[in-house]
Amino acid sequence: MSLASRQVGLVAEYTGRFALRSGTGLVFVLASLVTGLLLAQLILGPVEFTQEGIEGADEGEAVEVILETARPVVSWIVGRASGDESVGERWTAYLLDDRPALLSGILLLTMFAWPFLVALGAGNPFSGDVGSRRIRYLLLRVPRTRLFFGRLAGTLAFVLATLVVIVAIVTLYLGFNIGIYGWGELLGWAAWGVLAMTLMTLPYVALFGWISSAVDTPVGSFTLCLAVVGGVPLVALLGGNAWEPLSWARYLSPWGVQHQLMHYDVLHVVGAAAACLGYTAAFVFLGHRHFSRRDL
Amino acid sequence: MSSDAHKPPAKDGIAIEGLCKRFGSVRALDDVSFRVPLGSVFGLLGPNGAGKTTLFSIVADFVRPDSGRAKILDIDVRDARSLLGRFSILPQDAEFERNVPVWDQLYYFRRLAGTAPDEARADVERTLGLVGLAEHRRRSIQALSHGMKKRLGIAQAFLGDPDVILLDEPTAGLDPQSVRQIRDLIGQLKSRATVVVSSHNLDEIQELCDHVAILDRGALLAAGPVEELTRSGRELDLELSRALSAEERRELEDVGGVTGVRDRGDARLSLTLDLGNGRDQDAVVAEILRLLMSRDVVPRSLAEGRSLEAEFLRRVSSGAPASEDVPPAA
Repeated sequence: MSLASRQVGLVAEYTGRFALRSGTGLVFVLASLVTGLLLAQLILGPVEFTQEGIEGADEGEAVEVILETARPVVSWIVGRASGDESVGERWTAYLLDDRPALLSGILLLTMFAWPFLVALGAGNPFSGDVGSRRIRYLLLRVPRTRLFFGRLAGTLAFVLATLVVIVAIVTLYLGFNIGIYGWGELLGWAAWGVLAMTLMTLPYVALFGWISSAVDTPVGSFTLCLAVVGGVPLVALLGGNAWEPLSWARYLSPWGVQHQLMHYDVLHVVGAAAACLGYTAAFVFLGHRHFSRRDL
Repeated sequence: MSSDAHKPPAKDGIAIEGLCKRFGSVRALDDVSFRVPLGSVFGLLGPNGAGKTTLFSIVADFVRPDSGRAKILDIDVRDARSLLGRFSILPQDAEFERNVPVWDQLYYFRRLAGTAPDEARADVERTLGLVGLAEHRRRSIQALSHGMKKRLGIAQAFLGDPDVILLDEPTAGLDPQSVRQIRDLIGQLKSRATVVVSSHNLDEIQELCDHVAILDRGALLAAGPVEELTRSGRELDLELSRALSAEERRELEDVGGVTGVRDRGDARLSLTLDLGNGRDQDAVVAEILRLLMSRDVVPRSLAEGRSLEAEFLRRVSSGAPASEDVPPAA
């Protein structure tokens, strides 16, 4: 292994380790677990409430209860994402009828909240260390480029590990406690969900890396990350109502394409994945350019 | 000590060439140029806001200059990869990871430099022992006193025996025992590494350094060997068996090379010597002693005075430009 790859690996490894020891890393893990499980509870609560009825009922009645629970959530989200009623209906049917409906609902809701949580976990890869000048001890030993990519890789791994834990808990709960889906169907859809959310996480981590490389206080960086995550869809939604071209603002962040990763049409999925990778490349380029040129 | 048999030896430890840096309207460095000889212990002097820390930050490539450049071992500091492991710095105000034990942080730094795990462990143990922190290796940073943190900073700077070490105020805030320990450590580095020390403590610089540069308000006032810079204002402290009469004092002032006599009370004097025009210090001192002995005055002690401090104060108050001084240290 070359020195460069060893250094990037070490920076990534210690970024994860030190994040766990620092307050913000723990806050992210706890906030993600609590949020993820609360969102799952939103979907699972009504089902659990009628659990006895489901167990005593035939399969058709059980499915009806589940669909009634998940349909409003799923159709609202995909309706907003598609902007076309017929596409929305077909998309909803794909997620509810062709795939495990409960897991679809939980994944879509989590995708909605995930960028805000990622801002907590990935909003400070540089700013705290730059502000306290801690980063200077590292700059003596690692070129800036390797430090930048190592930090991003470590942050991404930390965030994704948390995501996997949440999805795993939910999937195992669905498999063991609700017990109406086959394990193959459930695990396959959960794996796809993790892959889709990984693709969607990439540009956010890159975006937050860029923001963090430009703002020297962790609070400032977190605030700006959250403002971008929440502000872009808000401007697109409210501004778009007032003046239609403003709705295009949703494409300033991955928000405009992220839900397409769960689309029934493979072309939409590929397009959304390519867009996510494109956003990632652009944000990484901007972040790296700023980080490698600025005073640290 | 790292070495490279294929490359010719470097000419300079550090070369500063026309560095300029502004922070908004503040001119932090204004066309600063000087050289730090290889293997020297070099003092960087200047009042607060003189630009010392900015200069260190540029040399370490933390901060980019507006113009000019800095080289370490003849390598441009922007070429970070070629310099990895060959130089180190004790930054003035950098913090360590708060919740991570001392040992883990140093081990991480050593591993980052490309060292194998076993060697890294041995290096960390040795360096912690060197700065007296071995028994605190498992403590986290917030459990360390200010002095211990400073020693940890010095430990990270000494890790891996770099060829060039920059120490920004290494003894600031330390107790006298730790100050002595750090000075001894720096003294031990003489001839093994090029060391640049910035300090407000001029006695410390005079004790440790063979070369100095004086900065004020971003401008270089002087640079060169301490011996050369203080030739026109060498201080000599004398303690005598009795106080001198006015006539004896006048006779002392008439000795060639003596430009000033200051009475410090209790039969103690400070003489200012001008060793310009190749005048030999030993000859001047011998002449002074002969005169005193001939008047039955016994010198009880004779010591080098605060020549550098006097010179520093003179330069800073007059703002004498570098061009009037000895050429940059060669």
